Amino acid sequence: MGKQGANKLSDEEVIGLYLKSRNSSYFTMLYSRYSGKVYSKCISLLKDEQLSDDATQDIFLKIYLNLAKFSGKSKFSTWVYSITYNYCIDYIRKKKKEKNIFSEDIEKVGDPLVDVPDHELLEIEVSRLKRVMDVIPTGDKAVLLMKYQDDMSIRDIAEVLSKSESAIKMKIKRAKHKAQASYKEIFKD
Amino acid sequence: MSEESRNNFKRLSDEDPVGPRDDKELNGTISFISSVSRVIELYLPGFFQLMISMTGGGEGDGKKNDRPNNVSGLAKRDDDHSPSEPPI
Repeated sequence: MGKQGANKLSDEEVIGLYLKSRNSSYFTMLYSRYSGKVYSKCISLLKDEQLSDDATQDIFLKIYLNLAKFSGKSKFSTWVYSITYNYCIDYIRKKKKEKNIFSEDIEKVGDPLVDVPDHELLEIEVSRLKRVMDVIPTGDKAVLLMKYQDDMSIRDIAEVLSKSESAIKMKIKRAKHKAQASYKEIFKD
Repeated sequence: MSEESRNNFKRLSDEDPVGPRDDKELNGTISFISSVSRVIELYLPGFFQLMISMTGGGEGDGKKNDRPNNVSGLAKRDDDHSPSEPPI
């Protein structure tokens, strides 16, 4: 199969071909498609290039060993990102021994009465948004990335973090508030 | 303006370094796992057979406890001419 033909295959088709033939070149195809994005997410959460490098390899090994279990109920990309976020959050909790990864763990945050409109965050200029994301707690950052960068559903995010859907909705609401407050503090616009 | 262009979260990763290092190490690990699983698939059944025969199990053992062939048993009973019902 030529490179052009291979690129036209969907992720699910590539997985099917791999499971049928056990030819590792199909897995390499998936690796080429997703390694950059997985690495980028690891860098944004772990903030260390070497660590992110190692994490990416570990994550793809996990994907390889569990590929037969991928049911196809969600998109393959969602499944890959779920494994990625799970890995990074677990790492931060265990190795870095950070227990307070959400803003509600660090400070007493009441229920925000007014939800921050999505466009107020989404339209922040990229370099400013990056600075805001660098200062907010890791857990808040993770839920915002899952929701707004990866387009994961509330249900998928709940599965990643082993929380209820209502808890995730509250975390997203608080994370948006934290991001808005951090933006105002940094840029004082 | 499209919805994608209004969402700067999608552009965040553009600022990050390009990608992980060469995947040779991962490929090596995957090849190793793949080879081991092929070996296991080929030789595990044979290994279990060997273990069973070494512990005294196997195809021949069941025969001693097997019931005799029913056909020969019936034939013998017919020759005996024993009554099928007890006398009243």
